[in-house]
Amino acid sequence: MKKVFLWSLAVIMVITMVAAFSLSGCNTTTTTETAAAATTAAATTAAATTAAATTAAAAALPLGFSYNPETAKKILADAGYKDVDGDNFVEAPDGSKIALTVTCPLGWSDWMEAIRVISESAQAAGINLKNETPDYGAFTTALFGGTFDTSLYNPGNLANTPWTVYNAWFNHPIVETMQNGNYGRYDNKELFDLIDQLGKVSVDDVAGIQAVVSKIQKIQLTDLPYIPLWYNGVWAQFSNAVWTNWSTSAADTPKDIPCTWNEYWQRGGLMQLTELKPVEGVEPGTGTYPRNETLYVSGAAWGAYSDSNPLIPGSKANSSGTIGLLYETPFMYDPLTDKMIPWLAESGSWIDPNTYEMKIRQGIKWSDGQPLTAEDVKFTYELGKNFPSVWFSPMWKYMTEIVKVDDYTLQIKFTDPIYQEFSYNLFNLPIVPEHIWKNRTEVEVSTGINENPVGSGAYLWDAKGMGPDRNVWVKNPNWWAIKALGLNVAPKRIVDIRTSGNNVTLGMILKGEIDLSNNFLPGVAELINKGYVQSYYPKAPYMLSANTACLFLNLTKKPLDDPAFRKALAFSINTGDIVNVAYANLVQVANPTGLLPSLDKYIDKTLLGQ
Amino acid sequence: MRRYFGRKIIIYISTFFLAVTIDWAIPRFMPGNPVVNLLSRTALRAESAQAMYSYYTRAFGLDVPVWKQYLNFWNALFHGDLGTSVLLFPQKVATIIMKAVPYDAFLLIPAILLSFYAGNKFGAFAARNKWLDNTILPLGYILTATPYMWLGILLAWSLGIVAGIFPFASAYSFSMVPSFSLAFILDLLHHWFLPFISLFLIGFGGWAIGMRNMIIYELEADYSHYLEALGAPRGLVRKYAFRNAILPQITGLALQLGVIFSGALVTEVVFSYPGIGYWILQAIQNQDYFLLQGCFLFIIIGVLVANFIIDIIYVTVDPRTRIGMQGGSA
Repeated sequence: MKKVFLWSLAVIMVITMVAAFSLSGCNTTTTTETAAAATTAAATTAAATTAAATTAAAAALPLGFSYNPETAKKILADAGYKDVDGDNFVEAPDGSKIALTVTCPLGWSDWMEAIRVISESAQAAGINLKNETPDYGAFTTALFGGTFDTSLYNPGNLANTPWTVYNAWFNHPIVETMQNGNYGRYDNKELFDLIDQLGKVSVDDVAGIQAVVSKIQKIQLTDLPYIPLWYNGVWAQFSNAVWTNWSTSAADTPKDIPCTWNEYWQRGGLMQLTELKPVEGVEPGTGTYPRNETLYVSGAAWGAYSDSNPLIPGSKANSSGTIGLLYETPFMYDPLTDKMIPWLAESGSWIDPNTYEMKIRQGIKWSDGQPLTAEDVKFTYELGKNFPSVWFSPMWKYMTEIVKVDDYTLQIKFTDPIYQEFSYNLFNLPIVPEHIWKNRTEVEVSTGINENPVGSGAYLWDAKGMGPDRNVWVKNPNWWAIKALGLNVAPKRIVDIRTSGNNVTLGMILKGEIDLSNNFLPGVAELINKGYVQSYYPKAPYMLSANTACLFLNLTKKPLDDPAFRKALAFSINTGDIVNVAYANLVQVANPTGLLPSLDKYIDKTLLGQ
Repeated sequence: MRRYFGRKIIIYISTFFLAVTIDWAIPRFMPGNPVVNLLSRTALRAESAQAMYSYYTRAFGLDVPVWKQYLNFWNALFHGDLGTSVLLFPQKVATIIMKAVPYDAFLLIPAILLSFYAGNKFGAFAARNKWLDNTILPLGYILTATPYMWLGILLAWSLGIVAGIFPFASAYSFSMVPSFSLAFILDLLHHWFLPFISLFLIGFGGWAIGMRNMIIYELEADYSHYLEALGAPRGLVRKYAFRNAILPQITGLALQLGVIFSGALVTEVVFSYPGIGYWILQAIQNQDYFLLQGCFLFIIIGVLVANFIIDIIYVTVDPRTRIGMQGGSA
């Protein structure tokens, strides 16, 4: 019995040792002393006398915010927030203590730096905000579950209209677990109605969109339920050792977004592959894959491979390319020119307000030789009708039926359509082969691994090459666009590497072992300046903008439910330091509305006083 | 003999049972809901997520009462089904672990065996050689106290980055595909060397010190003096001493197995070597309880099996145990 006891003890010890080692890295909190807070005491007493005037001014134009700690302290003082116990942090007007946290996932090093800056600058203005970094799982549980205080996050992506990102920031209705946005649970019926109204405006009606967006922005800027801080970059640094003719801002270079992230292949990543040229005189080398025919990328796959099912959206980051390289969408979207490019569809148009006619391109073949026809497109869309667990099934609330006019023409019929969502899905919904998927059950469609995937795209999945830290794609010699559009992807193979850390990636790209890295490499600005690697812009901000990093505030918690407090917090955040220090000039400060530069025409500058 | 092994087997089975129960219980009683975690990563709209919630709950067997989950777990275990991973849904945990085990075995078995052999041999030499004693002993103390990951990082930096002789990440080059060609095998060994050597060195230090102390003790025992007095060659005396000294070392090996396994885990993390250690860290960071449970189960089984093998070795090596068993006492 003694031996049993000893062995159980040993096992428990091993478990606790491993767990202790792994868990010791999370939840680091840093506290900073605010030396300057003492001087603000005098300033706040002076500002308090003008309380009446400022509260009226706060609601008037211009709206918006920028880094200004004095304004932050004034707003706090005017709203009744005072430091009563002398710890240099304000307390609520009713006297209760304020102790808030700002979180981001552990391991996202740039964000960890950013929340350190946020925490320090907020504390300098008197707001007790401490930074914490839980593990990704715990972070998202708190974010979606509504138990966080404030958290950094960046829902939304490059899109052809601002509706997608507003639908994320102001996602509604408010339910127990908010997965798709509006994590702070901001509840404003007028705003939700405006967003629903926006969804029903045609994508081509720029003036119509601007009119609705202007109203949305007025509410957003007055209430500030979340604080847009900076634009995360499309991290892209590339080496010209083996492949050249990358997209840059210089003249005479291609202008496709050089990004291999999931959802970016159809936003320019694939086009970049058609523009690449191999460098002369590169040796094949001794590996199985000849060096001069292989493109090594990193930062595409973020985790281990789990499945090749294009209809499971959450895991596609681990097999980036499943949508885009293997499975394709009816259209592509070029954010740099704001144009929809007909892809699997030859054309698409609204023949009346409730009918969309899509003509499928002829001559496209699946990788097993079968032709791609309107039947495949109809089948894919109808998967959402038959199976409520498919991610686009909510579209069927306003889609009524799909009529196959002939083998290559479809008419999709709607009642009261959300034009914006349908348009966004045209370049995000992958088409799957009907002849292979037709007998699959809902469980197989929504959770199946989809081994030996058959797609229509430029590359095929190389199951033999797949390893624990790499995905391999091999060129599809029968790709339809070679004949139909005269496009040819240059690399015969793409090896997508999951590196163990940023320093490893940096070392590899400097040696020319990685051609394109879409990782965030801190400090890469210096290397770009010295010419060791290249990026889209030769100078700051070096990278294109991908999405907006926003500080989400949990409006169910005091004092975050007070618009004045939120406004003060917005003015206290030193976005300049985030850009210069945390990111070393690799990003740009965001517009207070949060819209990306590519959607600049929808920013109502009059609200910002410009 | 039968009573000895019978007793041993009963102890192992009860240990296995207890350890597996704890292994099963930990994920169940940790905070957090793996289904919510999985759903959050799929980024489904609320309506679609609702439809999937009950499916996922059934898929993970979480819709039955706790005691029934426990019985289902044992049932699945005997069918070789360790559940489905949350992190890599819909991959099965058994699939993920099976792909990782060869790398672990490739790392651990040579490291344990070679460090044991080499450490004991050098320790024996050091016991009677002043020069070796003055070098190996301090070196051994330093090595055995070194944390595995620290030595791993040191080797990765010095031999991998500064000297550039060895690669310090991954199991094989990114341009290689697994095959039985010489090029691939050499590449595999090239990547294997640094994690292996960091496990080997620490084990070597430990065994060397232990053996050196044991040999000194044995060489001062009565039978050694008697043999020397009879004029036996030094080699013969040493051989007998070695045989006696190795016994506590084997016991020590059995006790150290847990430490060595956990050392291998952290070494794999340092070198991104795709063994079980790598998956344990991924599972912890992503709250994938089922993968974590499966990995620990594997370690439990591995340690128990290794212990059992050592028990058998102990019987063959130590004649006192053999005779003691035949005599009816164990």
